[in-house]
This record gives sequence, C-alpha cells and structure tokens, in this order.
Amino acid sequence: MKQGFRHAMSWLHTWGSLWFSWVLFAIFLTGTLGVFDDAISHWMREPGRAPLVQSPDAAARQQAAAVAQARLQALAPGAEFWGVGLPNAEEPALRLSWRQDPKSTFQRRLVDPRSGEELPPGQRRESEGGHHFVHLHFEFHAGAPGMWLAGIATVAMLVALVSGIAVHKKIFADFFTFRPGRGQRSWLDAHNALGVLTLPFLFMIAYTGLTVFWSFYMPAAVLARFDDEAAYFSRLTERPAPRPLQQRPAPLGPLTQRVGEAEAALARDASFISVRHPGDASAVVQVFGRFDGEAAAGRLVGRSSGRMEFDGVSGEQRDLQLPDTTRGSLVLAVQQTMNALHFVRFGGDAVKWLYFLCGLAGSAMIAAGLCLFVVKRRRRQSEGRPGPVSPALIDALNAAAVAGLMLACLAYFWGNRLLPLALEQRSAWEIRIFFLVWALALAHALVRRGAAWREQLWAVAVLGLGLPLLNAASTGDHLLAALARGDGQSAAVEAVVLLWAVAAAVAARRLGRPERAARPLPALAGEGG
Amino acid sequence: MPFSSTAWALSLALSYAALVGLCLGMERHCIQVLGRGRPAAWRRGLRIFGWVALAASFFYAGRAWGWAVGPVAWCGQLSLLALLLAFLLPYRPRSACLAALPALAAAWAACLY
Repeated sequence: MKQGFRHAMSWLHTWGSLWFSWVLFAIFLTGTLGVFDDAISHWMREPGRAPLVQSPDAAARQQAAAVAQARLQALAPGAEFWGVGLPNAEEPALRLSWRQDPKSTFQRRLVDPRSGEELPPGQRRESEGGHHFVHLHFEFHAGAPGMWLAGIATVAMLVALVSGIAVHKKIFADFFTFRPGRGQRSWLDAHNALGVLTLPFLFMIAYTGLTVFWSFYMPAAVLARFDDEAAYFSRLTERPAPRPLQQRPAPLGPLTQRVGEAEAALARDASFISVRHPGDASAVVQVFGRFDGEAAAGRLVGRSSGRMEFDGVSGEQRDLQLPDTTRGSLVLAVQQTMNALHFVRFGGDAVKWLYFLCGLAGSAMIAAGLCLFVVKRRRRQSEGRPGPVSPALIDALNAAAVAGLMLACLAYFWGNRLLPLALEQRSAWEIRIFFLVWALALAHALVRRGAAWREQLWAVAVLGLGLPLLNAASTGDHLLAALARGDGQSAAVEAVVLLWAVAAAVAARRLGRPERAARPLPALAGEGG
Repeated sequence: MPFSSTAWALSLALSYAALVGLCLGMERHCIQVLGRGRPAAWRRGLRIFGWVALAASFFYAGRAWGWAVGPVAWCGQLSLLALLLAFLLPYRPRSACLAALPALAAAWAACLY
C-alpha cells in the first residue's frame, strides 16, 4: 500500500511537474528579477546621462496638476477615469493616463509639467524597464489568459511540492547531502537540497502568488453578494462607496486646489491624483500621498500613504485617511500580509536580497529537476528501456526554457541600449526582441539538439560580459562610474549581469569537456538506496 | 522598529553555527568532515548546541528586524545558509564547518563594540 502510494506520487511529481516546469522556470526567474524591478528600470532609463533633477516643490506640483487637468480635458473629455502621476525626483515628467470606459485599455502620455507639451520621442530612453519581467511573471504579457496560465502552473507547483515531499525518502537524513560528480545522483541531490532547504520560501511564494489574485481566480463569492467588485472593495477597505455615473454634465473643480488641500491635510507630498467620471455630476477626485519606504520597512500589514477624497464638482471632502494609519478588518490585514509577503514590501534591500537569492535557488531547483529527468531517461534508454518521450527532445526544450530565457533577458537589455531613441513604440520593440530571441533559442535548440545547452550558455556569457562594454559605448556609463556617483542600483545590475555571465561561461566549459566516468567519492556513512 | 545590523550579523552567525552543529551531529557528516565517527554522546551534544543556537538566532533576528519581519527574514537566511553549507561540504568540508567560529566571534565582537 505504502509503496503504491509513493509510486503514484512519484509518477505525479515527474510527469505533473515536467509539463509545467518550463512555464514555472520562466515565472520563477522573471519573478526573481522582478524583486529588483526598480533597480532594473533605473539602469535601463540610463541614469548616467540623465541630468540631476530637484524634487519639485509644492508650487510646482500644483502647477503640474493644473497643466494635467487642461491636457486631459483636451485629450479625453468624456473618459471614465483620469490618472495623473505628479513629477518627482526620479521621474520629472508628468504622467497622464486615462480610460474611456471600464472595458477599454489605458492610454498614456508623458508631458512637460510646465508647458503641457508632449515630450517628443528621442529625448529619453522609452522602456518598460523591470516591469517587463513582472508582467511576464504573472501574465506573460497576455492579459487574462496569461494570468490563468500562471495560476494553473502555480497550482501545479504546489502539487509538485507536496508530492515531492511524499516521494523524498529521507528528508532529514539527506538534509545537508550533496555528492557532486556522480551523474544522476548529483542532479537528484542538487534538486533535493535546493527544494528541501528553501521549502518555506517556495510554499510561501507559490501560495501567496495565488492569493494575490484571489478575486480574479475565484470571483464567485464576491459577485454573488455585491453588484460589482468596486462595491465590495470599498466595503472591505472602509472607503466611501463608488458613485454611479449620473449622465448629468457638471464641470470638474480645479485639481490644483485639491492637491493643495490634500497636502495640507496629509502633511505629505502628493504623488498621484485619480479622477472618476470627470465632467459628470458624480465626479470623485482622490489625491494620494507619497509612499514612504522607510516607514513601511518594519511592518507586514502595510499602512496607508495617506489619501484624501473629494466631490469632484463642489470640492467637498468625502473621506480622509491620514498617512501611517490602517483601516479595514482582520480579513484585509490578512490579505495585506499575504501581498506584502509576495511583493517584498518590507524589510528594505536586505530582505530583497534574501528573496532574490531564494528565488534563484528555486529556479535552480526547477532547472536541476529538468536535467534530472533527462539524465534518468537517457540512462534508461541506454539500458534498452525507452520511455514515452525522447530525452533528446526534452533536453532541447529544457535548453530553450532555461538557457534560452536567460539569453532573451540579456537580449532585452541589449535592445534597450541598441534601439534608436526616436523609434516608434520603442518599449514595445524591446519586448518584441525579448520574445524573438526566446523563439530563436527554441528553434536553435530543436535544430542543434545535443549542442544546444553549451552554445546557448556561451551566448549568455558573451552577451553578459559584453553588456558593460555596450553600455559604456552607447551611454558612456559603467560600473565604476556608477559606484563613483553613489548609484548602487546601476552598479548592482551590472555586477549581477557579470557574475551571471561568468557562471554561464563556467557551466558551458564544463559541458564542453568530454563526460568523465562517474568517479566514486569517499564513501559517506549511512548511505543507502 | 529601527533595524540593527549588528543584531542581524549575530543572528546570521548563530544560524550558520547552528546548522554546522546540527550537521556534525549526524554520523554521516561527522565522518565526512572529521574523517571518523564520534561517540553518540558527543554528537548529541552538538545537536543540542545546534538547536540552542537556532533559537538564539531566531531571537536576534527578532531583535534586528522587529517581530513582524524578523521571523520571515530568519526563514530566508536559514534556507540560504543551509544551502551554502550543503554545497560547500563536498568541496571544503573542514573550512565550511570551521568558518562558523570566526563568524561567531566577529559578530559577537561587533555587538560588544
């Protein structure tokens, strides 16, 4: 009975994981990079050349709000939603966005905060930056179908974790065991050690990854009791209920005044303005305070950055939540904790590095599992017991999923530095390059089969080692210059890329050597099976 | 709660020392590192040290980060240090274990200083 159970779990773990591992590796690696999405965006937007900007003062923010209102009135008079990102030290442009109705997509414009003129293309390095990795991580740039794919893969991951524990015979006896240079045994040891030792992280990150989108994956409970999600969330977060459209035109009051009043009430700089139903009698304006990372670092239940809500027409106050306060019941606190755990919204850079390294370990665990699958099937094949799938084919797909993805990530950085600044849809082209290179890696792997891993890892090494040179040639910035100006984010991005390239080169060299016969190591006592 | 880097250093060093203790407390790794086995009582002593050091490292993680973030950071650091130890053992068994001593001493000195 017990043997039958373990056998069934082993089958589930092997075959259930295999088909999702390629997707899961992509989710894991891009999620790991996404931990530092801000640093990656910072590097991609070329900090070395950008002039130092002063943080705009209160008068500049109020002027920007007036400019935004005039521009949006001209661009999108009857829109359902306007969003205004006020300029700050990192982003001196005024960021306008709007949505014509709840079903249409958001439109975005960057404008000069004083003149209101659109910033001409070619002045800045348009890029999605690190957000590209975050979007790939949860939706593969494919909207709802992509989110379903990520969700199903995450459930498969949880199944693999549980079945993996059931299969593992000696979790505690093998806790610190890694025996290199012994072929299949070594891959199994590595897969086990990486999986078992980071198990708390793996469970936490997979589970919270699902719960972040609970209302998307399981909408029935909310929709059965509320008219729409907005009604539910305003109740959950204890905010005034959203006002339905009245279809009665009424001019929107000046946003400048709202910003001034909100900054006075919150005693904090305003960072964002949202307007619902501008031009209608039901208009509501919200002004949000600037996020203070240091105040949030020591807590899992996030506190508000401050928010003031007005009647859009009369300017009457509807709601005020002061900074560093919390609202909502225990349910909301639990949700916020889950989200904070997933998004690393606590603990500052040190905890981000812990997440980054744990994420790398999880990616390596998946990659080792894929290699183990192939090594094991190859051995069986050589023993005259071929399985249902060709190990060579799986190996080629593995190479494209692991080395090919790394190649695509680096190609994305290369595209960022090589594409002309004035190119139309520049940030979309960067992402197209990413997917194009990934597809080419797949084609290459299917053609080259046995040599795919080695050649793609060499390509990763070349692109990685070349990136600092390309950066120096295209923008004049480099690691030492970044360190000299105290720009740790840019320096860290280049340093990690270099380390990555060296690791890829070492791996490619080892693959290049003729396979050594599995050598016996000094025996470990207590070793069986 | 303000973050204390010295308390975190001590917590990291204690975590690593605890893992080394628990590892050497297993017969397999005891032989791997020291070349021969040790009496069961000797190994039990190491395991007890390991669990006590583990509890102490948890305590200092809480002191360093506050009790909301501390336990999360502690889980993460323990995973990564255990991986470090497991992947160093086959290549540098003795240095991997001995490294716990200067790490502890340095972290303790940093706290006193």
